[in-house]
Amino acid sequence: MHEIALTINSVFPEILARGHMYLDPGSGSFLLQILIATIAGAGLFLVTYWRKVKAFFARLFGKKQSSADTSKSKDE
Amino acid sequence: MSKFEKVPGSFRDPNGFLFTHGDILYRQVNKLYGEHYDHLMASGLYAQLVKAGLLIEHVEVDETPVDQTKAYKVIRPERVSFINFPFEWCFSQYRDAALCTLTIMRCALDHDMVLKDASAYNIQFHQARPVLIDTLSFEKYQEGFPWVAYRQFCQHFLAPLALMSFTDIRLSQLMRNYIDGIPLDLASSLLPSKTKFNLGLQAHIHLHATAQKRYAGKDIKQVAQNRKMSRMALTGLIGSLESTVKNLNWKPEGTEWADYYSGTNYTDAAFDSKKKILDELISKVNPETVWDLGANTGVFSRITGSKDIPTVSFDIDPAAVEINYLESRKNNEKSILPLVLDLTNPSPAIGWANEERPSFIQRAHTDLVLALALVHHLAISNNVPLVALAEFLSHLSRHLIIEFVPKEDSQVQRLLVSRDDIFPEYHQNGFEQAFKTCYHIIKAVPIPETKRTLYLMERR
Repeated sequence: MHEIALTINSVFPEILARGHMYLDPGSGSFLLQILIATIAGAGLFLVTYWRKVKAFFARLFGKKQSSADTSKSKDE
Repeated sequence: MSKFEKVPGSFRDPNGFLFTHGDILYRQVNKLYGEHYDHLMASGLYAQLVKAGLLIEHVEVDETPVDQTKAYKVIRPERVSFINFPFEWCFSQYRDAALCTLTIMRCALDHDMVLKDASAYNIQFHQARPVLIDTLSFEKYQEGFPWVAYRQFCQHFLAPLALMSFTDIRLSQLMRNYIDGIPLDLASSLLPSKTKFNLGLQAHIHLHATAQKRYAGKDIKQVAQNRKMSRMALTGLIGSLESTVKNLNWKPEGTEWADYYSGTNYTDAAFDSKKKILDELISKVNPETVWDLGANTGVFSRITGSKDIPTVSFDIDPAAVEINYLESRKNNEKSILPLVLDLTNPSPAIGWANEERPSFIQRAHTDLVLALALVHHLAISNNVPLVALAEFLSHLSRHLIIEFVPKEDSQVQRLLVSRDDIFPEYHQNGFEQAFKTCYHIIKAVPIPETKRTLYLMERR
């Protein structure tokens, strides 16, 4: 786990030092982007999981309903 | 033996460059970019984007590289018929180009790649759709690393679109002045205060401008302090930019020519006759490409467009170009390219050494020019002498179809209402004499029920 964190943390200076970027990303733009992306990413995370939760209950409800339908048709 | 020539606008990226050999355009891919190019091709990203019409197609060729020590490969990209620039796009074209860039970024991320630049000049309208022409714009995604092209996207796409939408449609012309996109502090100061309550614009323009000012000149490593940005966060950022762009709108109303066709002095019969005569004259030239100057909403551009002849439909009015573009997009007309152009001040050559982006005249390469209901605007509203007009048009194409609108016509009368008539040579004979200096007049056809005449001319 620590190794993964170290790898990620070392990405920044490594890429910046290797001179991979031909564009100047701008210090302010870089920092602001991380801030906005973190908020937007958290929002996306919540939306994604909320959909999954809804889908789970929808499936559960759907299953119950279909099993009820089956039993009903059997009764008939 | 034909010459190798580097394309002047292709010098910023050390990963490769464009060059021509004879009439053929090539792109050299440098060794520096090798692993990224291979990943683009092997991951399926290239195939997916080309299939979706989002990336220009290319083939790998055996052509000798220009710079052999650096070369990895040489590719031959499909050529765009007319290179067009962001300040020539109408609002919806600009918006579609921005969304195309973000869609490509999403697809790239799905294949473990990102866009390493987001220049509006990398997008071209090709067969009426926005397409990325820079094959070297991709690089392998480094987990945790922010989007390097974020600032460029905001300057090249978001700022012009927000200004066109909220301040004035004509502010797209700021892109002529700022080759690396509109500075965000300028955009922020030109946007109305109400945009501070728009979450996307507040974040990506206003706060962004403040952050740029605050951290200007500071070391990026110290500023970022090794903060990582997860893939989910990057996807969220792209989503945020996408929804901000999608929420920007502009409706063409209240501009000069948007209701032009309902306000002309043509009867329905005269209008139909004009179309019929034009069709006949165009058939005599049998052009491969056409430029319609002063095309308004592109009614006459569709005579050639409907025959699959690539037709660039220029007009000064962003509203007319917007209507034209929306029409061509709705009907999936691949041969019509509507663009904004002020003929009295056509797009200049801009950028480094005045060579990075060529001027309108430098890009002139067409078989036939249509100049319909245009002469009076240039000769009377802009005082251009008829001989100078003939000379200018003769630089653009071999054949010309031009409509002469005499002083007795109500449209010319309208132009003369508020000014002195200082144009004694503006009459049919004067027009013919002026144009004979540069052209042979092949045919002159009066348009029934009007005082106007259509001419087919060939350059001397």
